[in-house]
Amino acid sequence: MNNFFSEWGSTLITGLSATLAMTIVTLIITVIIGIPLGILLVETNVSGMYPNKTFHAILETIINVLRSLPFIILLFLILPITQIIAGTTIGIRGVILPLVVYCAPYLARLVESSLLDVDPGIIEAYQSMGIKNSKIIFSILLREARAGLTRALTISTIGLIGATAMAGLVGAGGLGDIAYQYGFQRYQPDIMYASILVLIAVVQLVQSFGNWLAKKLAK
Amino acid sequence: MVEQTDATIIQFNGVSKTFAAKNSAHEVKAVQDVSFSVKRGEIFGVIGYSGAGKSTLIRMVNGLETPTRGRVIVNNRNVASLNSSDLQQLRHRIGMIFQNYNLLKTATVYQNIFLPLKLEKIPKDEIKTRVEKYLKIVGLWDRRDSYPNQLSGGQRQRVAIARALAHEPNVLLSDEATSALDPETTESILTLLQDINKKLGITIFLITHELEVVREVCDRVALMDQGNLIEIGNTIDIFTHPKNEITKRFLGASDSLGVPKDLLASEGKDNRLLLLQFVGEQAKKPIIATLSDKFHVKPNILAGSISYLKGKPFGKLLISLDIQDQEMLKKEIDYIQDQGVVVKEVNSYE
Repeated sequence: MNNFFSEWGSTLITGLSATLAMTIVTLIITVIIGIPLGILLVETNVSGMYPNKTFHAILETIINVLRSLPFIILLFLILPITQIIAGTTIGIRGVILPLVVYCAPYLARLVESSLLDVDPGIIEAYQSMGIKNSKIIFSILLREARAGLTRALTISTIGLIGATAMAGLVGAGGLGDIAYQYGFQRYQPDIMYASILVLIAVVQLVQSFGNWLAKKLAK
Repeated sequence: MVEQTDATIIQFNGVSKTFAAKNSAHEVKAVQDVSFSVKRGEIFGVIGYSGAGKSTLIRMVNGLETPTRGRVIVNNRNVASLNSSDLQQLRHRIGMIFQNYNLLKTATVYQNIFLPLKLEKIPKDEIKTRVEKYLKIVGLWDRRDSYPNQLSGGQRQRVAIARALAHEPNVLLSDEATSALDPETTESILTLLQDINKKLGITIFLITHELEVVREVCDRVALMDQGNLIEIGNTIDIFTHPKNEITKRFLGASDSLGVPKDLLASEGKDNRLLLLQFVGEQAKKPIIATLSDKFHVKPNILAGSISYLKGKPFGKLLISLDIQDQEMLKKEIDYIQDQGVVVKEVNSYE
């Protein structure tokens, strides 16, 4: 056991920190893009506060197209764009953009569904009190949806961790890459299992924390 | 500005509202050429079956709907002509309560009243004073740290009332506010609304399908049917001398549970007609059987109905009891009431 850790400990820690770095950076950008997209999906729809058929149809199409591409395809498909925006297509820097493009539309859909779960009667009550739509969205709608939004974020985070496993293909490292490189390519099952166990632990931790927070916020 | 006397607070001027129906060329005429006005300081009720257009009507008062034709004038402003900031100003002066309360479930009772005022940018000290004042008026100051799901339906409606009052409106709109409540809670909410009307001088415009509501609190009442205003007048006049056939049918179908008038009259001659209302578990008790065992009387059952009230069985039974022995009759009524049944005397009219 001690031998194993002295041999692989630093590899695992490097992998874990790469996975966490990719996840956290992507998550922040995904939230910044995905939540407003989710709001737009709801509020530009016919039943929303700012109905706009054309805008809504375009948004729907873009999100549906992006959502139908598997991450591995997306990763290669947008290589030229990644090169322009990130300045590189390899390493952690090179994988953030594809991860965001993969994850943000997914989060937007989940945000949409949690916003639609808010009782429209509440929105109407606040409109009847003479409160501006923008204030209703940011102070009331998001507040009432917060438990659902937390669950949405938890699901996306776990989906995102899964996607980072493929980041190894462009040399970004991470736990998934270790499992693949050592376990599959060199047939060293012990390090493969170890990295998978760490991955499982991370996912468990994220899910438990998300559940706990959602419950606390639900009331 | 529109010509309007100070005594009038809400005015409908030839108002119609038509909705385009989904998947068909037909139009739904929700409200058709309705004209009447609500006086400052009164409690005015619009009653009718569901689908009569009441909801559309009340929603035009604060601009949640706009009329297809005609004008709705509130506080001397034509609602449909206002720009969004003027409409917001007007809405601050119009409180509204709903059948489903529409409270934030993520906020405490206190926050539910505090938040909307904060969003209106009212100074914090002022908000605190108001929240306390109005929570005390509705009798829920000691529950201020509870969440809505820890409260009963009646308490939630009280919070909603406090939230509406905290904007210090001069009109309160009530959209079926007691329709989801049991008879006793309805009673207490109605008492509260009357208090608010008297003590704070707030005009109340309510819509309901429950006769009890208009009968107990409204000064004046209008009956709507299929988008049309059928009859309007003082509550007492409408109840005692309804002119229109639809009104008569509507009133008749309530407490007498559809029993024809002449039968009621003949049965009511030497009997006391009583409407018994049961909710939940009481609906399953054999009250009539125990009554006749206990007092050796033979109550005559004239009509009965059972429906659901918020998932609980809600029964109504129209019975007649012999009037000969007044003291006995009182005991019998007391006994029924002790069983938790709401007893109401029914007039056979005429």
